[in-house]
Amino acid sequence: MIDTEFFNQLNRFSLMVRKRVSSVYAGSRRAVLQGKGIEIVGYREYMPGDDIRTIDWRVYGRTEKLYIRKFEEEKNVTTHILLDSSKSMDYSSSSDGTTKFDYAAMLACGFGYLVARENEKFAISTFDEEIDITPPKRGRGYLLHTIDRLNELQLHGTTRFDHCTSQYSKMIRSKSLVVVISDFLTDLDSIRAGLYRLAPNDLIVISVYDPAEYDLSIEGDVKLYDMETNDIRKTYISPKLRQDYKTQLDLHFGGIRETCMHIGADFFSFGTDLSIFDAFFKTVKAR
Amino acid sequence: MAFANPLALLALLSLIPIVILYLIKPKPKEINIPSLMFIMDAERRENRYQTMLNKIVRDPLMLMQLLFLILLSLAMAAPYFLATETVRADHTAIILDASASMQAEDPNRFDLARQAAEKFVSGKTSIILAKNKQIVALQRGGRADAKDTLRRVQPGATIANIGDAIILAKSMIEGGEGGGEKGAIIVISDFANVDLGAISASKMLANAAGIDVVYKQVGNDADNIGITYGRLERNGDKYEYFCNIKNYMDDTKTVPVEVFRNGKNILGESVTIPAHSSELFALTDLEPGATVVALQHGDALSVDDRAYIAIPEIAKRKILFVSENANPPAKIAIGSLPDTECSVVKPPVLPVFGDYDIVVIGNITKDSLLPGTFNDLASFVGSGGDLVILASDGIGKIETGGLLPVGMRASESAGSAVLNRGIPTQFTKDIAFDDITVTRHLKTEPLNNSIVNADDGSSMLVYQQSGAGVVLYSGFGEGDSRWNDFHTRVDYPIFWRQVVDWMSGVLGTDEYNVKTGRTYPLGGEHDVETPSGAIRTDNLLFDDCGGYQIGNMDIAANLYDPMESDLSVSIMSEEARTLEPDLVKAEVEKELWSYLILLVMFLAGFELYYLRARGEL
Repeated sequence: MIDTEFFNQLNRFSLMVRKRVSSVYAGSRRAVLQGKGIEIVGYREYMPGDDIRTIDWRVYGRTEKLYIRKFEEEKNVTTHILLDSSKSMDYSSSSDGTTKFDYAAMLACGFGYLVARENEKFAISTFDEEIDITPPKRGRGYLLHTIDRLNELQLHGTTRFDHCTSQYSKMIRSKSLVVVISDFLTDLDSIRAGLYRLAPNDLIVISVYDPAEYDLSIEGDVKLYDMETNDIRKTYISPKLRQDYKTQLDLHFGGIRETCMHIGADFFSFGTDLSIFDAFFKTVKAR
Repeated sequence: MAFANPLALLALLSLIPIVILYLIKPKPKEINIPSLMFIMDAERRENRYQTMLNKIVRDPLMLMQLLFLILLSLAMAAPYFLATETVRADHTAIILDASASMQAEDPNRFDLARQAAEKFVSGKTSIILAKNKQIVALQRGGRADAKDTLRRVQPGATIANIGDAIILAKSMIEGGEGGGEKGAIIVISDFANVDLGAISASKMLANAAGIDVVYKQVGNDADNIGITYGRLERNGDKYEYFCNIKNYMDDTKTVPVEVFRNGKNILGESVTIPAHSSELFALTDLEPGATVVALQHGDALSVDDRAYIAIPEIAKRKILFVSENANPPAKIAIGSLPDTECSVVKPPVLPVFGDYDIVVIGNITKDSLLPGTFNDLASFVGSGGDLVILASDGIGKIETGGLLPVGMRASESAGSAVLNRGIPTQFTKDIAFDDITVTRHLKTEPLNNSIVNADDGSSMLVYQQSGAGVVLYSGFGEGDSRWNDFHTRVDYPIFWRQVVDWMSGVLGTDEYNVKTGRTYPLGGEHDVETPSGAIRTDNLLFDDCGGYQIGNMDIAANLYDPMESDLSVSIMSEEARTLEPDLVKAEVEKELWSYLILLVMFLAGFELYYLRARGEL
């Protein structure tokens, strides 16, 4: 269940977006990048491969040459929040029953809150094997609607990160702020591919984990059920195996961190025992 | 496959609690986990053998523990199988010289003999220890038994009678089942202080029976200084001991000698002995108890570096002499004995016999004693007292109630007689009865058990057991020149000393100080403390130097053999020194326990490795 009490604590934060914009909401600097937008900044001769919708037919009528319109890039910032809703996010070892998904959803809503407060567009899309794309919108009403939607969401399935980011990246029309919140318990290659796909955007990658799943506080003969695939594994958890498991986890998240560094994305890793406020503080402080 | 110790298979029952323990083990916990893929990755990273093991068996530790117990139980059961192998012969009799010289160190001759013997072990092996008596350590045993026996046997402190050992080995081979087997006798010895003539004769006998006899000589010349002779002598109440210390080395040596009495050092001296010479070492005024003379120097043979001396504690013996004469020669002889208190009482009034150890009835007449005196004497003897009845004129007329060991022919007396020895006894040892001139003696009924008798068949000396005591009849009387001249002879007091010692259970010093190799019949099973531990036997062999304790009696045994102490080895032949076994095909027992133990050790190591790999160690 998403607790929205912490929204009040977020009032002192504002999300700095690393995008040079000229909109009234985002500052006074003018964009120099050209792309999809409304304001026409000039023309150039048509080259094969250009979008034919951008051809100015009136100029063609006058000059009998094909010219295309060049637009100033859209000034407003859209924040896309991708929230992992696979079954593995349903794990909780805490006494209050806060799952990784609850924690991740609160982070997502926190970002939504900050963005909505700036009257910017945002979208919180959940993904597991497929992505449930929701269009970016403005306003706190939309945030509340999203919170209701997330509260009612049933978690299921595995994580197909590459596939989902591939789907989602098609609907990002201009460079945006993309926040990915997941436990990243899936194939590292798939995660890398997805992150590289989102790299053109201002990217924040947040890994959420449960302390118990990292420490693996079990030992002896166990029958383990995988939450996503329902695979069963009978094994003996020895101190050596636990150490190897931690090493594997460290290597995995080290790989994600390294990829993030490579593409210039911010990477954060939060345990569900860390307060949401502290998690936000660390995220915002780093920017 | 068979088992030498099948009872050990009962140890397999220990598997039951292990299996039960694992059966009642709680089921594994069922846990939902989001990160199973990483556990599987971690498992893949673990040792591939361990993963394989985990795949094969659900609980490798249980399997290892079960295997451990099974292998250990099997190893304890000593499994073996019969295989055809090249060995020396069908039946090999190994004669190991177990004499004192084989105890020589640098290197230990007996260890060399043991190692040499192992090479000759065949499918059927007998092992004989050649001491002065032969000891069969193993009769027709298997390879495992032979090796085990070779590990156990130890040399003694006696000489070796190898000739007799060869004869014994020959009869053991000939006595084998079927009789058609190929037999061989291996004699392993240093061949020092052995009777080569007897050995050669025995070998010829064995060869004649188709049995091959070969010699294997072990050991090299070694230095030694040892006590090669010792003698304890009684001098009144005191004892004197003297011994020879011999130096077998090529130069003069000064040997520190220490004397311990009852474990306490009472004397320390040095004796300088020229090369290949002996020096006398004497001790005087020795008192009863255990005394040890120790040569404090290092040499190759330690068994002759100590001489053990045992002197018994003798309680004062009270003797009542009943005689009409005041001071007869017999009384004088008895009264002069050490540790003896002799009272002469003139009949008829006599003291209570129970206050005395020995009662001697000397010269009496028919009327000397009160009626019933012999009844009292019978009670005295029946309850353990000893009685000596000396011949006198009146003895034949007195009713002794059967106490007299010999029947008198009325009161007949005969004239001169020539004495003959009958049964030898301890108390007549070294007494020259043949030299005694007898001019008169009492005629008795002839007896088979006479110790000394006259040529007319009359018993001159005879004894009989009566109840718990002994009654001795002496036809020599209490010492009257009209009867014989025994009381005037030098061995008269010796005779009485021996009689009194015998009756009071005291033996001569030689009986307490024996040479090794002597056997001592105990007349029934007794517990004996020997230098090498407690044993129960009816015939004690003194084969170790040191103190032996039989009941309350302490006996010292010493080597005292200059030939055995001589550690120089005469090389027999090059062949005897380099002898190797001839090989023939034979069925032998192949033991498996050692392989099983290796497997157990490997398994234990692997289990430790496995636990360590799991991070539990």
